[in-house]
Amino acid sequence: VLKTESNEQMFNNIHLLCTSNRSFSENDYTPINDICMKVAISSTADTVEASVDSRFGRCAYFVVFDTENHQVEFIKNTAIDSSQGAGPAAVRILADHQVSKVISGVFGVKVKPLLEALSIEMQSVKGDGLTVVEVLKQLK
Amino acid sequence: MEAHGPGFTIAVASGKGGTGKTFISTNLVNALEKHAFRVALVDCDAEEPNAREFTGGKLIASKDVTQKVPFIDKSHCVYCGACSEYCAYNAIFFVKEARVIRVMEELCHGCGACSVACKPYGAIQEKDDVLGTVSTYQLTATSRLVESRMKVGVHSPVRIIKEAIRIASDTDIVVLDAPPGTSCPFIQTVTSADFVVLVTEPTPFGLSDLKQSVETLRSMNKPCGVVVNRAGLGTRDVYDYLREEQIPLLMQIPFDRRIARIYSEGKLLTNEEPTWQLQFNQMYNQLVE
Repeated sequence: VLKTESNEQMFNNIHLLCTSNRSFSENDYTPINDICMKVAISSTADTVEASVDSRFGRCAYFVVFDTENHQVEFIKNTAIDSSQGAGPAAVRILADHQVSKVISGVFGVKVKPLLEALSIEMQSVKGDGLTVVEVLKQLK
Repeated sequence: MEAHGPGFTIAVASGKGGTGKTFISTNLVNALEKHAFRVALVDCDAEEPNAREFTGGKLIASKDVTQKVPFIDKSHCVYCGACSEYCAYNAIFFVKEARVIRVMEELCHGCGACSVACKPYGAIQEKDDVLGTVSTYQLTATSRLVESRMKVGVHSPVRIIKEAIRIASDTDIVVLDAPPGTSCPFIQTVTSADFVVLVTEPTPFGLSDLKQSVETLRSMNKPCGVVVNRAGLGTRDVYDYLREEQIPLLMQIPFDRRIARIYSEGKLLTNEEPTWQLQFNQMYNQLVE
């Protein structure tokens, strides 16, 4: 877990709304608690200054932002080494890190139903060169 | 069809797409058939088969190619995740805490490792999943077309290609119209060939991909020769390469508007201009020598 003063400052004003419109099915698993929420952003590198990776399954890193304590964690996407099925493998990584929302460019057809089954909210962002920190600010 | 001994199998391949594999293979089969050979053309480009556009033919047989995919009986599943760990292809999605387990059929290679993993619990059963079809068309009394066609979304055409070649193997001469490239579908196709005819064009792209094909075939110890299509275009580099590497130049098809028109109308050059029958038969004779 990386946490620096500048990161702390950067996220000081970011308050995320816990989504109230998420529907839960019997397959759902409940996040650790209802108030805290982890948001993952697919990133091209392990820094918040990096641009968002438009690919979900084969992004280089996931930047995981904890909306409760404002900690930022950089998770290397080991699914990138899969010859196939990188998307489902990446979903598994997010699930293992109790992520409840993911922001990326494109979510493929294999990945969508899995994220839905795990009640991980998907958000697509467009725009080349959009940085991770810019996306985090938009979450405000 | 009566069973014959192993015949002679020729694969018509190319690294680069669009160099004229189907043009060469359909005309070769037509020329051989006219010489009273029992011959089968196998369209191994299962991702987009097109030989039938030129040969036509009457459908005489069709079969589905299937593979076994796992089916999870949730009432027996203990959510241990062993099947997911055994799978090398990310085809079983599993999150223990969420008790989510799903078979991603499109990623499954049908290896059966998950069934082995689940042996203590018996929660995994197998069912048939259709990968594609192999259709046989009668062209003339002594020739047929065997077409491999994969289902959209299937990850690999290899099994379908394999089955198509097996169905055609009781013929005296088998001509395989190979898929482009040098990846698994190409390897599967040329594996059963006695000789590989590489079709290229005298352009830098053609030469670059020809070199890759030659290197791949040499690593497989497969004899090969080259047909230069659209001769007259591009540069002399391909000829220099063939001379240096001592690869036989089997035939040249000129870059000719008339030939292009015949092809674009879905006709066979060997029908429209019968002198070409001799050229194709002479090429065949070079291969069997």
